[in-house]
Amino acid sequence: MDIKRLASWRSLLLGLAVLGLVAAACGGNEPPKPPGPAEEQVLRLRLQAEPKTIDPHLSNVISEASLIKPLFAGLFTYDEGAKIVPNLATELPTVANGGVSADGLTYSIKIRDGAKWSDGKALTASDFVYSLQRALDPELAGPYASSYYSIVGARDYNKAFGSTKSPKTPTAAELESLREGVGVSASGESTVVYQLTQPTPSFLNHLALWTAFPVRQDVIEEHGANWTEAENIVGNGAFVLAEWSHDLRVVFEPNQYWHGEAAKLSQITVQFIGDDAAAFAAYQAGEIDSVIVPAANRRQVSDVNSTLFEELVIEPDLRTFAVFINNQAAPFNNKLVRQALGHAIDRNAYVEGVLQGAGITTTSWIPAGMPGHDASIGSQYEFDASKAKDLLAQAGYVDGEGFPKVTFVMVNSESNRIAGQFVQSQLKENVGIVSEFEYIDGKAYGQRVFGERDYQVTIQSWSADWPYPDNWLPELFGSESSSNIFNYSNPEFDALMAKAAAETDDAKRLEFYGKGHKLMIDDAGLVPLYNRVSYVLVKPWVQDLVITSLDGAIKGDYHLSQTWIAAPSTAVAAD
Amino acid sequence: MAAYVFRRILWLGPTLLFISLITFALMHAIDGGPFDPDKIGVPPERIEALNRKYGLDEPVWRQYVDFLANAVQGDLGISFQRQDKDVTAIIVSKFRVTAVLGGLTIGLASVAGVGLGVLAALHRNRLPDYAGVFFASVGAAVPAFVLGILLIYVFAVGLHWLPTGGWDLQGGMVPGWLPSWRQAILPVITLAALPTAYLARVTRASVLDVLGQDYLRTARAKGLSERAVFYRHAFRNAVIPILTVVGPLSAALLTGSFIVEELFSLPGTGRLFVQSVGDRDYGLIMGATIFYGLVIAVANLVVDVAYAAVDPRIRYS
Repeated sequence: MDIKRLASWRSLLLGLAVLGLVAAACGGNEPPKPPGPAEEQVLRLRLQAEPKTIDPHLSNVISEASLIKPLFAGLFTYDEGAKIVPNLATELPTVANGGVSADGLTYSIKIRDGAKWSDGKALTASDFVYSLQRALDPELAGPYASSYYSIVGARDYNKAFGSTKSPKTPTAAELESLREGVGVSASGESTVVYQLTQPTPSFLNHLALWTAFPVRQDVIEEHGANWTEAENIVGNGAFVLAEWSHDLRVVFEPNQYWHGEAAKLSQITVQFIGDDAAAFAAYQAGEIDSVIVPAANRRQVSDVNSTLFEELVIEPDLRTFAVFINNQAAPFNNKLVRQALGHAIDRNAYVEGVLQGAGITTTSWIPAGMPGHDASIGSQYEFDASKAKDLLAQAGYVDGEGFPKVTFVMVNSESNRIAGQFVQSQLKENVGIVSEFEYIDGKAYGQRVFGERDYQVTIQSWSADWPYPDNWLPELFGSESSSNIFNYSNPEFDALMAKAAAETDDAKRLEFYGKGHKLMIDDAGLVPLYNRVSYVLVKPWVQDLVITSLDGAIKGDYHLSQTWIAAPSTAVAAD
Repeated sequence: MAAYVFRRILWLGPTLLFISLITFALMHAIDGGPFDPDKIGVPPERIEALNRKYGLDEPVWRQYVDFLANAVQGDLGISFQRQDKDVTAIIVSKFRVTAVLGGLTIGLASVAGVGLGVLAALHRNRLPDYAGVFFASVGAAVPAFVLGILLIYVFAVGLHWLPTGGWDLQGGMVPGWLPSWRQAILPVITLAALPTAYLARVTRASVLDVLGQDYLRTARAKGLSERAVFYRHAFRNAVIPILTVVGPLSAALLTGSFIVEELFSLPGTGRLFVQSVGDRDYGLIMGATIFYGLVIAVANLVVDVAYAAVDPRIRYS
């Protein structure tokens, strides 16, 4: 073909047309169309394992809580900012509106009108009474029962069988009277009244916990342990359990009797995919719409040039990882040694090297995003190898010489092994401490560390059951607390905690907690390392997946009724 | 023969008893129980109450005796970690998945493995032989996990031809028994890789060995076609060593591959057994052990009987 033809007006016209199309496609100045809803409103999610239970009174694991939250609703819940708000209650009770008595011991909470169960039956105050009694039932032995011990008669009822050392054998009549003696009652059909033994700053938080969600007495009595199966279960949440295929998946559908705004989704499927790599592959293959990024893939999704980067949501958790120290185990019973440990680990290198950046270094215990957070606490424990060495020398171990054997007990997992290697080399290089790492399986670890406190040091984490310092301080570091696996004991700390508990003014209360927090950290009761950050991938067509710091194993689980799916053609925003 | 089979069945009792005793002892010897705290803040009363509920506060020997007493009546107990469900029910429903997976795998491995091996042997030192041996070596060398994830990335993530996992019995090829063929392909191939390789090797060696025998020379001298020589005489004798392998192989596959089941999220007994140990689910561990003991014993018996059927030289007294 000769050159003249190529340059003919026809080809010119064609070229212009192509240019025009390209220009139209790039359309930079047009505002992006807001996404419209897709025809199929189905959200597909993933959990790692089949839940052991979804009975609100028996569950204490965040993966199970994620399945309980769509199905049941309590008097209170949390908004996007982790602030407590009414759910089934009409309003937050205060002294002013009469919801709380002046001495802080009586809570009268009105249930909103029209609250119903998923089978259409009306929800009444007596459902809440039954539920709290069941939560404290000593036969059931629920894991969170002790959270409600501030309620009159709760401790006595829950401990009715005594302990193995001093067992009690109450008769059926005695048990019944103990049950009736618990300080919860129904005032009419729609008011629940709680009686406390002492003012409890976090009481509303306790009522927002899934343990306080109402359950149906008749359903439980009829079906026993099988009451949570899909064909039996009756809940009062925004969704109902349409299907539970064991070890395969759980399917939720909207609850037509939900009092609040109807869910926009027509179905939520939660698949149980055990292997992280397979789950990540499932996300990439488009089989699930959201996934928590496995550690091995964090670098990949953080790469700005990767398409996955646009789908990445980063949300800090209310969880702090720390070196947990047994304050009674030598050589860590010496405060100088503990303080040395606080200076000995390079937290920045830890977050970069071990977590691929998915963490926020911290020297304080209570994380950002909840009351009681104070970044200045512990700031004296910045990484400083020479300070660490000095402190050790003061304790009698010059250049780490004569330092007794240190064994870290850890749960055997890939991420723990990586962390262990890092900490081991840090201690060796920075202060000359030779440490050994023992990796054991989950149950053995639970028995040794949580049960028997047979350890020197370990790397562990604590996450908020509710966003208030009483969940982080007195329970863990109070010398009388059964959960004080640190064996930390400081009478001044105990006194501050007691003052905080008795204080009714919130600002003053937080001051006391703040002082206690500072005291414990100055004592180096443990060595905080970092706050965890969740890396979550969410497909672009998923709209309004509200991820909060209080979420469980499914991100967005508090507000799934707001989530919806956009139609694919409108889902991707313009460049 | 009947007497032999009868004797073997009688031996099942003592065998299972012995297995149960060892498992029970080991189970209680290791650290950690089913209700030990998995996080801070689990009140000791709760642990004690749970131990009481499931009879774990009794002396160990009495717990064993209670278990035996129930087991001989056919009651394998309840699972501690799965909403008190009946152990037998759990195992039977999951075994369906594992058995089908195992069956499909044995089928594929037998056909592919034996086929490759025969091909290699018949075309010895030529291309089919080298290719067959190469694929067999790869199948044996690449770990199931690596092969599986590779297949997932190529066929599911890359090509979108197949799902990344799952085993749906409801909408499957045979409802309640077989999942959709799409879901079955990758797990079966992954699980079959190693057995195929092994069978190919054994078959090749066995066929080569038989091909050199004198009685085949007689058959050829009689005027039989090469085809008849192979299928009517050589193959039947070559099969015997293959049966040696298929027996234990079947038992292994029937009891489930934890790795493949975990990777493809298959609700089978392989995963169940491993999980139950990690959970210290005493009820399930004991039930699963008895179940497996039975399955393996029966599988071995079937293989031994098959031997006698195939090889007239073998007689049991």
